[in-house]
Amino acid sequence: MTDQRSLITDDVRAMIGSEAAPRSLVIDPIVGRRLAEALGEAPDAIAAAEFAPAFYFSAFESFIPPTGITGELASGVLAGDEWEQFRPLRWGERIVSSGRIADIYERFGGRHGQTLYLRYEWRFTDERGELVAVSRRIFARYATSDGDDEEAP
Amino acid sequence: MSDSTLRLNDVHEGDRLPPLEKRFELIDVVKWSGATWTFVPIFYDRDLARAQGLPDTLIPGPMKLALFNLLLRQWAGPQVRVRNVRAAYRRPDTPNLPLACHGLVTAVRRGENAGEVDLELWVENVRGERSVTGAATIELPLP
Repeated sequence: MTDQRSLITDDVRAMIGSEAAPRSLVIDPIVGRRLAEALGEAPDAIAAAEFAPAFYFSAFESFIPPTGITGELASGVLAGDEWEQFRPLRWGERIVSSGRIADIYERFGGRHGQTLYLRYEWRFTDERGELVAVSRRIFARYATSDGDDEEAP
Repeated sequence: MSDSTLRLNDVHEGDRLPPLEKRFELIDVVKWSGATWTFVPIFYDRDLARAQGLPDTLIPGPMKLALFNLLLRQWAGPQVRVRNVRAAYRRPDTPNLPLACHGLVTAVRRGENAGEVDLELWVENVRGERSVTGAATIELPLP
């Protein structure tokens, strides 16, 4: 029988809105070359271009603000990813990422049983403080893992 | 990959993109992990993966999201502007198996300064299942 006890305790709810310290990133052509190589693309063509390719964004493994969630919800997978890109990024430019936990919600009776979803949002600004990209990622956390990714509801 | 960027009048609703096929090996995932400086054991430790009941290590979700961007780049040209892209990771994918990334044009619009094209995107595994589903909007030059 499914345990319908909510996983969203006061402690978990209090995490909504918590922020990670801003991080500075350089749009690095060497990283671009390495990503291209991992993806089986021609590294020289990527690094020689004026702008970083769009796939460079998906490689921002944005720092995740710690949640302190442990124990029965220790397993988790990335369930969804969304990027808005407001302009292309030039090699060598510096941007700053700011991340926060935007929302936490749960679902009962899914493939993994009761699942807690954490939606993170990162905003990326350039040296003039202008927004260049926004990323939203949803992580699903559940008690047991079969390693299967699961779409967020 | 074409060297030139498509123009809006080259594209029509219902167009299917030529699929992008990839077969990532573990070393490719390790390279990705190194380039992003993200080291999640399930992505490179086969013993750990098998101990968790998986057939093999997993390919990171963001690496599969990159396939969407590569598909758009292959189709529309290296200068393509991707305004937004999203992915839902529905099933795990493991190295050494072919993946095919597909796209379908769902809408074409003429904007003030550029054309806008909406696409449905997905990654299909060797069993024909959609392991990643998503969508994107790209910008193309007006004719």
